[in-house]
Amino acid sequence: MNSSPIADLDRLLSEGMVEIANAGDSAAVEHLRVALLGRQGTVTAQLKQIGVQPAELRREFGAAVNRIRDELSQALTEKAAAIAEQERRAAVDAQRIDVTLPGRKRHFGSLHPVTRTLRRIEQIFTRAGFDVAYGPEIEDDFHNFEALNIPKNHPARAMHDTFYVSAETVLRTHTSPVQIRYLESNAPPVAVIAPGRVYRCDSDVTHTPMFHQVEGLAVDSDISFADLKGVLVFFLEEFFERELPVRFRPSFFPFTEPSAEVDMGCVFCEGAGCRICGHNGWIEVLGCGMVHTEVFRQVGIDNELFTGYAFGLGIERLAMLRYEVDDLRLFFENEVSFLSQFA
Amino acid sequence: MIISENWLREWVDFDLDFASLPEILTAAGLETGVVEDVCPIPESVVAGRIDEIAAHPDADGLTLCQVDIGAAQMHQVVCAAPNVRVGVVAPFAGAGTRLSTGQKIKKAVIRGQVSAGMLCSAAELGLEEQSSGILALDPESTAGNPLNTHLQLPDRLMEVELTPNRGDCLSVLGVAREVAALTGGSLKEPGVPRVRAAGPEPRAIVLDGSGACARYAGRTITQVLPGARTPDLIRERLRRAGLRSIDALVDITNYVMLELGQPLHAFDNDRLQGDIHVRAAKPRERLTLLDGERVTLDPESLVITDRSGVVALAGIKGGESTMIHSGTKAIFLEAAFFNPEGVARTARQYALNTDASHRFERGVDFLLPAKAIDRASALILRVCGGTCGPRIESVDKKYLPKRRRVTLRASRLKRLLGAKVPDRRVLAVFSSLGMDCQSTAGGWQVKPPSHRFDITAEHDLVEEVARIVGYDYFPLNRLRVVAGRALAPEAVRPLERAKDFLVDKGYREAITYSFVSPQLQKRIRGRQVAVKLKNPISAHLAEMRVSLLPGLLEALANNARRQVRDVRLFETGHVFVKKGGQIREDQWLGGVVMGSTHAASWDQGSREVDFFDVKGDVEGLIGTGEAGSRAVFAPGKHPAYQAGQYAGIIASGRKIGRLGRISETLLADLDINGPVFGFELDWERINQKNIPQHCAASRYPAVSRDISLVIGKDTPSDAVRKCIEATAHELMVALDLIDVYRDPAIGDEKKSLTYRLTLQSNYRNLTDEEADRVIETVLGKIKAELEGELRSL
Repeated sequence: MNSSPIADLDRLLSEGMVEIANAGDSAAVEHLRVALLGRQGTVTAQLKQIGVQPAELRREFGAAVNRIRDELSQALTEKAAAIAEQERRAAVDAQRIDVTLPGRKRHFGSLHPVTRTLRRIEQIFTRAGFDVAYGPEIEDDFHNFEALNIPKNHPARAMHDTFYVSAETVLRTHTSPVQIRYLESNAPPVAVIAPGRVYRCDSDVTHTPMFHQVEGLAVDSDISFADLKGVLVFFLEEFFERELPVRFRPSFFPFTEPSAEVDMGCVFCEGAGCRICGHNGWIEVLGCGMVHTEVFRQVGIDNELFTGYAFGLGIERLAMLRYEVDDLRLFFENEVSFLSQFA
Repeated sequence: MIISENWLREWVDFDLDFASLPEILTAAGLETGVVEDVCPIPESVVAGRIDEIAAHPDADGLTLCQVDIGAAQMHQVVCAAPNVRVGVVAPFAGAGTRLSTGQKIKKAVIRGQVSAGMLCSAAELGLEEQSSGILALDPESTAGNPLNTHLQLPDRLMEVELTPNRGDCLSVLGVAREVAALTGGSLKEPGVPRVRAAGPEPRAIVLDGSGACARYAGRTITQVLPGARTPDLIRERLRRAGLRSIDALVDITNYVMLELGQPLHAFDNDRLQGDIHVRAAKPRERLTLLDGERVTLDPESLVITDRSGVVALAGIKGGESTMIHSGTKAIFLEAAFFNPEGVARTARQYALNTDASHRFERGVDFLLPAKAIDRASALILRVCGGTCGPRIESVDKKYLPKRRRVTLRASRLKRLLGAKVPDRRVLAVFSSLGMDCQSTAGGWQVKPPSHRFDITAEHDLVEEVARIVGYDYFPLNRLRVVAGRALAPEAVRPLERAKDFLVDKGYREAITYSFVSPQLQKRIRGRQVAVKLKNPISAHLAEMRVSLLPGLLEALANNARRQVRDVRLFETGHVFVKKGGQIREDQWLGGVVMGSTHAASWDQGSREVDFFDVKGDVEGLIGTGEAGSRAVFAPGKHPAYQAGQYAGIIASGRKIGRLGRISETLLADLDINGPVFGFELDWERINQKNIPQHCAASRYPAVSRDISLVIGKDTPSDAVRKCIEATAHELMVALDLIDVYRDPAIGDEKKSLTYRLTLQSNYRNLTDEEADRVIETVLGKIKAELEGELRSL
């Protein structure tokens, strides 16, 4: 059989192509690259044969050798890329995990609902420029009672079931003494809230001997009952994140006059009447009033120069309404089953 | 104060439905509950007079009563009640009546005798919870009169809750006045029939001139019928007001008190000897009160005395020796004006709260005694008969309350309320309240009536205008934002930050009572002295906490009892310590931890929490603040903690906290199956932090060298750290303990600590030789001071 050099080249190409196609991994591809295109490679050997071809064939032969070199080189590159991609995929596949397995666990904590509620209250008032002040929980008779216009034998003392430490020292029955302490050391104008624990010697289904209040006080040259109404409606609507009917009704506190109890429309029945609001559509949420002249006199503020308002609200009461807690005592039993609901 | 509609309408004419009053009164400051019906009696129940009685021929204990109900024929009733008598008038329920108990009356034949209906007891009519025998009505009642007419039914009730400033409303008259003012109705005072007085009153009334009693009125009524019965209507009105009927004389004094607001006392005149003196008690004088309680008096207490001694605690309660009884034939009636503060003080001192003291403390109209005596006398004469002596009275005029004109400026009214109230309306408010009001140039001059004790200054008048006009009248000003001037200093860490830190570390915030069990606290407080409560709510909440541990451990125990194993709690709050007669109150932060470090999961088991888990949290809390950088954990002893796993935390020589494993015996007492770790931090001592001051970071590479030291096993790692820090070159920028190792190969008395020193210069690259020199110096010092060697590998 008479073979022509060109035909030999074609065979070289087709055999090379088959070998490349059959290469199983990147090492085999590299091996082929050397065998075909390396210095000792078969294609390289043919390149060296160009010069020895007869003149009439040289051109054609040269073009053919270069073509098959280019084709094999490209095939090798493509094969190498394909194998690299395959190997990368295999490696990724090997790292496959079950992403539905749960994440590594740790314990979660929670803030007490009273703290949670208080933080909202503080945010609302501090955004309006109120300072936050604190006072002692073991309080003297003067700050807890006398300075707040509750003299020794006043019947209003019976409104407070007081814990006594001594004849002149009590567990504060309200946060109102912080009003006095604040005014003793800050000249008006002032705007302040005072949160904290308070104590009453009373314990049943709806009373715990300790609970939390926030006192509010604003004193300036022209503060009126209309300002008091404004601040409290603003507060309640911010706190409950909605518009609410709010009702002010006359009441009595020795340290404010006029005084008011504030009711808001029941958030559970929208005022229709339910168990929570005692079937009258209103829920009593706080007490307030214009600072009594006697309180200003006790702390040396001129009643002609300044007027002010004060209010007091129960934190547990708001927390109960906000989070639908139906038993006050739960707040102080500290069971994880309760606390964990406020995470 | 429970108010009956029928009684109220005797005192005031108003055009509104009674059911609308609660809203009107509440809006004016008299918080009033919903109107309730008095349990009605079936229409067919009538007054029946027993005309004849015969024993049932065939049954023991049953009687045959012939009952007159105003009809042509007698009705025969078979009755088992023991109190049937001829002449007794009792409620008769004829056949077809359905009682409120659900029982339906039928004509019946009982052992061969016809019974046309039933004679009812009070309980069967729903008038009492329990009763025995048939309800005997007024003997002069008309037979056949429907019982509803007789008892003024139907009737409705409302309960008015009065604030302490409104003692004037503790009566039907008082509420009637308020209703008249609020509804435009008119007050009407039922006329009191004049009583004819006979003979002089031999008894004198002597006031001691102290002002504790400014007016004392009295009257002797003799020849009253002993054991007279209280008329049905009086009894019924007392019942509706929540008072029990006792006997006619006491019932009448109570009735007049409810009606007018003036407390009255009736003495048995035959037991009262000589003149009445109103004076302060003498030291150690004694009195037995009418309920048998004995009190030893002190000179602060005002008493009523006769020749025999103390006979009553003025304005609070009468004495046993002169109390009226079933055989009383003559009485001495007392109505007085006692100083409110004096009564309050005495009532509080003896822990007595009576209907009388409740009113006197709040102020009783000082013009009322005479009127009340007359009203009571007229009722007593009607019910018990008798002969009245003259009404006598002793007055200490200078001590009677003064009713001065109070000025109200129109400008003040507007300034305080935020809106002008038209002059006409202001005048109308005061006139409706019976206040004498004169207009002046800039406002008004107002004189309050004798029954109002709460109007002494301008603010009081502002309040009256506001509450009668109604709070809704006044506008609502938009909130004015004031300049906040109290941003917390940057160098003080907010407590809320610490709370968030702990929450993120898996702790739950607890709030426990500030008072704890003295027994439990005794185990914890060491030598600290706790503040005791004089009147604790219970024996196990009797003293103030000196530490947060008792509350937290109880809360932990409470959860453990409910099978909760993993519990991490923290609390912030005041603790109270008595020191040299003073009470110190400080803000502390504490926590307790029990259970696993984390929940078991598919690729990691769980591990029990240990000391160093909690120490890590505490170090995080102390942070990089002032206290943190200097804090030392010093081994020590504390009663609440287990020896060997306890550290006092000290900064700048001051104790700032405690950390450790809670002692097993303490846990056993609380039924907690440990281990439990706890920490307590004095918040004010750890909340300072530095305001950051930037310094440029080095641009040169850091070199790190690890050294493993073999050292005595009891040498605290802190000593090694201090030694390295003191010796190492200023080039050392970090020192970390990266391994602690014990092995027999290095000796039982030794341990190995591996430290990593990081060295870096701000100015140049460090050479190996420089690093080696630092390490050599350190090793030399460790060897000299702590006998530590470099571990050979």
